Amino acid sequence: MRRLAISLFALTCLSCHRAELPVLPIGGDFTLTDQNNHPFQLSSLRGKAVLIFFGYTSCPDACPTTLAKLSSVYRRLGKNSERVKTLYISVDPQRDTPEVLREDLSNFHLDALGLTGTKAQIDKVVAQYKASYEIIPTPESEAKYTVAHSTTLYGIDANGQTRILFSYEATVDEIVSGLQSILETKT
Amino acid sequence: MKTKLQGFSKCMIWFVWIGGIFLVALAAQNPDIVVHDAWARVPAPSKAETALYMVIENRGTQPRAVVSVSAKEAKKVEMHEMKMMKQEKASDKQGGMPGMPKTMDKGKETDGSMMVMAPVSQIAIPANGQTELRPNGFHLMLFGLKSKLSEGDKVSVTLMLDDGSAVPVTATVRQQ
Repeated sequence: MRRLAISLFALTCLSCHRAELPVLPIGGDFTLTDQNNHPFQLSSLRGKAVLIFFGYTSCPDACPTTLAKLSSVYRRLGKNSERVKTLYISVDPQRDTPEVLREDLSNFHLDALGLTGTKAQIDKVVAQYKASYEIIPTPESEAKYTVAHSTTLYGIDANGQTRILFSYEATVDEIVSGLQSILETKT
Repeated sequence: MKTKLQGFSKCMIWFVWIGGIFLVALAAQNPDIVVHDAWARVPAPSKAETALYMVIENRGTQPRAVVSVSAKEAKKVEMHEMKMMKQEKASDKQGGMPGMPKTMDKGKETDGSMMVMAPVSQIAIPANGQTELRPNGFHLMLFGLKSKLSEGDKVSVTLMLDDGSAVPVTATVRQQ
């Protein structure tokens, strides 16, 4: 299913502009806690395009790379960036408190909200979006454990429906183009 | 007279000692290993750790390997590798992944979709070749940073090679 969705994006991306995007059968509304310690629901963002990805703040590579890439996406979107919200869902609630998420996201220039919750809450969202993660102990390392996690970026439309799955390798141009298609899609 | 002689002897001892250190330091350098484009990522505000990258060139005819790294600015430096792994490959340890099979093929590299970081014991540098330490590949992890690092700061690390030589490296701190 996941491959099908990514393939769909690859096909649609070639003619992303003005193409009708399919509604992908994953995702949906969820409740977590935001970086300001307030309850958060995806449905509160109706009317905005949303980018969602899963990660953790101790991640040295993939997550800061994605955040830096998204900062470029926001710059490229210009005025349209006001219509896009990014949600960074932590899969490491033990280390990523709301305060840590808030502090670390302040390093990047994008309209993003860090989200966390109990393991059960996070696992539910992970399953909804067919993402994956795993805590792997690394006793030989100062880090003590590492978190393997999927790196897909989810493009959500103004009605909370999943429209595009961007792979980790997606370029700034591809994400901007995909977001423009989401913003132009009639919901 | 005795005092003058004692002073001279002390001077000679210092001269030999410092000269010895200088010679040992020179001997420990490896002219075949050239490092360039070294940079460290600006650490996240809540973290006393960061990743450091560089290109290590080996102009010699013998393959070499980095076996340990130290840094003045960090309590500990580890060599790590980021890898993409297939979802089915992550371990069958406790917890697992919701909706994912418990049996995982740990041995096979794939173009799958889980990113995982793991410590490595050494980083090989091929003869007449180079190894790139870069995002999403091999990198150094600096743990226990002794001060806050900002864009433009310099970080000094020393690579210890398998032949006992040392390579000093200065990296610039930047965002990406």
